[in-house]
Amino acid sequence: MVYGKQLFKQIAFLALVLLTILLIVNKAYSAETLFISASLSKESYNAGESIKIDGIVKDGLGNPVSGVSISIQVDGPSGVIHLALVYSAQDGTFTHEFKIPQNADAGTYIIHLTASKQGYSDATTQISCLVVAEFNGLIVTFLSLTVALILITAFKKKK
Amino acid sequence: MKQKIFATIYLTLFILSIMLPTILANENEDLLVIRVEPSYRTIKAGETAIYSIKVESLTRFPQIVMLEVNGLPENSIGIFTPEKGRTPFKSKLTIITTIQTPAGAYEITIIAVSGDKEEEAKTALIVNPPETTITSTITTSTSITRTLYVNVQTDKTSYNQNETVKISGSVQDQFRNPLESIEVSIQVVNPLGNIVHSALTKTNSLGIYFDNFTIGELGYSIFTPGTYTVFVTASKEGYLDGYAHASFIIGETNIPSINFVSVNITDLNGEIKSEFTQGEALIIWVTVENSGATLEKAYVWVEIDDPNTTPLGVYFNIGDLENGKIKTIGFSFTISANAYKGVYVAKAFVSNDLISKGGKFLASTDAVFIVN
Repeated sequence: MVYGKQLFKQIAFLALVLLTILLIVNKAYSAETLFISASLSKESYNAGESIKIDGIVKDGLGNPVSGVSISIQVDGPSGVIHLALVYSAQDGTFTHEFKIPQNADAGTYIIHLTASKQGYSDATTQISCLVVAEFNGLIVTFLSLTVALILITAFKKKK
Repeated sequence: MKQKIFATIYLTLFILSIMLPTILANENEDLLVIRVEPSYRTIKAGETAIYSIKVESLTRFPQIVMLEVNGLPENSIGIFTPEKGRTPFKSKLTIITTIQTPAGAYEITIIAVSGDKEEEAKTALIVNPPETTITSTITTSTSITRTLYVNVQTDKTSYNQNETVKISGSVQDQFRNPLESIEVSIQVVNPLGNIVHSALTKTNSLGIYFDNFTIGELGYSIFTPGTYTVFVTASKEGYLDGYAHASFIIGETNIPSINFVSVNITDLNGEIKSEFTQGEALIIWVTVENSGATLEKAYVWVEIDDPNTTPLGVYFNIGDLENGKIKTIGFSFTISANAYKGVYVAKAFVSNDLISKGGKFLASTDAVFIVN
């Protein structure tokens, strides 16, 4: 009898835990939840080059959501360099392109995105890329000439 | 004697009964008045013409008015500073021509749009052939893909049930020329995320579109007070779609409802200008209105993009945007001595936090200026 009661308690507890998990999962994957994913065509860019962001917004059931506003903030090594507000199309996709300034600092750039639509909970994501400072042509030429001169001098001395 | 008094009162009441509907009708008719000065300007191709504009409302209630221009010559651009304002307000139209602008006399129409009303004022621009010594040209943005620029506004920022919401806006190309017959899709979303109104319309010859709906006639039987959002999408083959949104409130709301009232660009003396020179400093004045709940620690941002769409700088201000209040913030910017010549865009945003901390933009707008 005591064993039966204990078993009942254990089953009841398990059922409660399962119900809680189900509720959490259901909320996380309900139609009112947005999911945003975004990508870049490259991992590394030169200063002055264009960065194109492509992405898609879906609901918890995997259906594309249109008319979602996507807030974009691009952070460089020394602060915010670009902002944008774009909207998802009928198929849930969105795209945004911007140019990295010529004098941009080299380093890691993080692109933060927030998707929001009335009646849905917001979704966020972030992607990153590397920006390489553009080589100054004159510096490259000067460095090449210096290396060549050192090599020639070394070769002559050896002779 | 009594009969005379009776007759006078009767006559007065009779006259009043005839006049009252007219007086009341005038009170409710949101009349706009737009004035432009001077009546004409003469310039040489490659030069700039500036017109002063005054927009007033004949009613007690201020109205949000958007300005448009039509009749510009080819290879020219017209910039309003500001492009939008709350009556009464003054604006400046700067028409910038290039040496390729054909000589001739042009009738310039300035249109003030508010709700479903539009009022126009006319002026003239006489363009003479350029002098052979003129060498300055305007470098316009060399964008590979053509983009549609669309904006949207409602005639008011808050409504009661059974009131009519008047939606209007305009569609322009990247050079801010109005575009005709552009398909504009409009959707109004209620606080629960349900579409309560949708419409498909086209821009008229001035690049303007209109739409309206009555709140009491919404398809949804349960009336939901709160913040409503109007989404518009402008589409045309060969162009990238343009998107915009505006918000308004019905009844009470517990979330902020932010709209830009105007973006003015001035020199350091506070004079509104749309044309600057290399090395000059300017101030971008952003005026924001919150008709919803107070937004604490709101971020008001400005980004300046050069003619090649490269962002030159991002600036922000943090402060509370209180319910029912209008706030103006100035951002100073110095154009570098070797800056590109052409059309610059000042983009303004309001967010509830940094986007990097999960915040989102609640409103956005832009204004343009020229570096010559």
